[in-house]
Amino acid sequence: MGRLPSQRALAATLDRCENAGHGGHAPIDEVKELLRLCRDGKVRLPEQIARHGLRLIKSKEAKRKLNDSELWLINEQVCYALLDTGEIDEATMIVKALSKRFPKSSRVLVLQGALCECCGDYDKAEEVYKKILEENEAHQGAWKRLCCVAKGRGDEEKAVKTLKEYLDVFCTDAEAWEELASLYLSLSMQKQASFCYEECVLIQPQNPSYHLKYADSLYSLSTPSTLHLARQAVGYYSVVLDLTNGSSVHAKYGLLCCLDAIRSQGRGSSSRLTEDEQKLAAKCARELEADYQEKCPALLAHLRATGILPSGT
Amino acid sequence: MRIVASKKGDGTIEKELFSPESLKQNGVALTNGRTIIAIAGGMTSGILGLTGLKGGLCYFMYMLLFTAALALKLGWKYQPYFASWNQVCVDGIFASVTTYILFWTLAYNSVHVF
Amino acid sequence: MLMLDPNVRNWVMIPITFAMLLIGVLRHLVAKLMRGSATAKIKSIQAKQLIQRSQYLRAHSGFLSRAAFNQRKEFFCDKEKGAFCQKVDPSLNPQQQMMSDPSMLSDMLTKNLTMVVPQIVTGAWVNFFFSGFVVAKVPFPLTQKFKLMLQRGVDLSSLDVTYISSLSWYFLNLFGMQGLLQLILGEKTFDDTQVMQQQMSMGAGGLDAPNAFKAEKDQLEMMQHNFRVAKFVELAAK
Repeated sequence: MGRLPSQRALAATLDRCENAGHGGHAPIDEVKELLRLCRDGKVRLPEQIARHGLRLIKSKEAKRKLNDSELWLINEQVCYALLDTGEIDEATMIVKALSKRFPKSSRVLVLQGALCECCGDYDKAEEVYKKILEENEAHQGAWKRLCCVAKGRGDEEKAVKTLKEYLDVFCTDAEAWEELASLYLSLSMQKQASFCYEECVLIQPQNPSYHLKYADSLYSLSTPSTLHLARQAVGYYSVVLDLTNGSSVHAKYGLLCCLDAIRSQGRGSSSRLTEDEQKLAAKCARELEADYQEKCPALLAHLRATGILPSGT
Repeated sequence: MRIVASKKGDGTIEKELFSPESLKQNGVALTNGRTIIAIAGGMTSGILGLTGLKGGLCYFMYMLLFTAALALKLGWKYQPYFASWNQVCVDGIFASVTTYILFWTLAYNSVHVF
Repeated sequence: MLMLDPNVRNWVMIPITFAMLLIGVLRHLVAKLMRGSATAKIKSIQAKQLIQRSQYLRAHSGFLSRAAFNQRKEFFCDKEKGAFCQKVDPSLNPQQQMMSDPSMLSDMLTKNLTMVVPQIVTGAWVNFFFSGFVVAKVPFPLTQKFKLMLQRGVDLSSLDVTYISSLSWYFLNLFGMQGLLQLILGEKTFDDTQVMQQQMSMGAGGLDAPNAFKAEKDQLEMMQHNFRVAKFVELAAK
């Protein structure tokens, strides 16, 4: 029976694989478990996966101990890891083996395209992906890699255009919206990025990182004449604090910055903080200071020097 | 792929990564187990010559035995293999009824009627 | 208790079960060979995703500012440019799809045939060769109303209802085999019982886009927006 993976299990397994003792190799079962946890949790550890996984594939025991479907899954996983670390020769070898085993698979074609991308041959990669899309116009992997090709070429506007076309059809893909937002940010289109983060929040409101990014973008958009955006950002930072049970340092910083901006740049009535906001500012400042005191007291002076802490704390 | 964050009593966040493939696999294993018990139970009931209500009640008894054995193997916790107790105990109990009836009839006829 | 000829058991009851098992396995393998690759149509995916997006919007609108919510509401519901007010491509309606595209029609037909024909043929075979006598006894009591159904072909009014004819044994096998087939073949096999239920409700499987769009649009237009994020500030300040 399968288990529900947790981050602790992953860390423990990784630890055991890395410290296999006396220059010996990590036992096959541990490596298998590590690879499975990474697959299920969609965790990217290219160096470790490449190292342990490659050794696993090449060993003779692998043929015995791994059943057919798991063997090829691991091959694919290790191949992507090798592309991440840039070991092109090994990756090419695996791609050849996969093509031989699955001659008509679009999944293997995507891998071939990724290999071309890694070698810098963007034209060939684009050709491969367009061929996949000709046969199956709804292949999400191919769409996303087309966008990566544009990004790899440095053509961010083309990447945005491709991603927008993709999102026109697949509008509930939160990761794609997040990627589009980061593309917009690199093109300094803050407003559009903010819209994308809103979509992310709608799709997965229980994920605090989306709220954080949205709040950050709202704060960046706010100007002395549009401080209501900063107030909204305060709200979203509070959501993050609730979701993370008060432990997000990023959110606390964000809150203090926003409240400081409202207080110092606001004109007239808009600059007055409500009672809740004042209490919140004081609470965050207190908690931040306590945190720094505990974990790195050397930086406490820097924190105080930023000037965002409300006076009187 | 879901990230479920739950707050624990002492203020730490426990984030669990749910793997829907594993959950589905476990569900399939559960269904297969129930089917096998239905077949074996049906043949037992037929061979024993149970009829009518007794046979019907035996079906529930077999299911109960299976659930108890499963709970024992799980160590009386449904985590981290299943999503809830409901799924372990209740889900799929009625799905194998037809299979039970078929094999019950088959065994009963083979042994007693002919 | 009637005494039945053991030959009946050896040459009727068990062969029927065996034959149905084999036919079930054969049918599954044939269907697998004929399936080919299913490429989804982009337009239907787009429709489904739009509906999903609208559902997310309605469910989580509390996390959006009023301006953002209205912007999206307009995107969906605007009379001229709204996504839900567009003339939906009629080919999205599965029934229309069947009428307009002859190749799709034949594809669906062959698929249905491979599923339904073996059932019909087996049923006819059973009925033809094994009619007129009692095949088995069900171990549980039934009312007299079932007598007509279960004893087709055996015209003895005084015979106990629990003795069934071959056709009813066939149906019993049909329903009971699903579990066994799933065990043997290892995946979701074609469920006969589901086909019979599905034929009652047409349009199953394909998304009925025009109606779904209209339903979502109405729900969105009626919705009251409530900005819940402000309450979190209060919560965090405690």
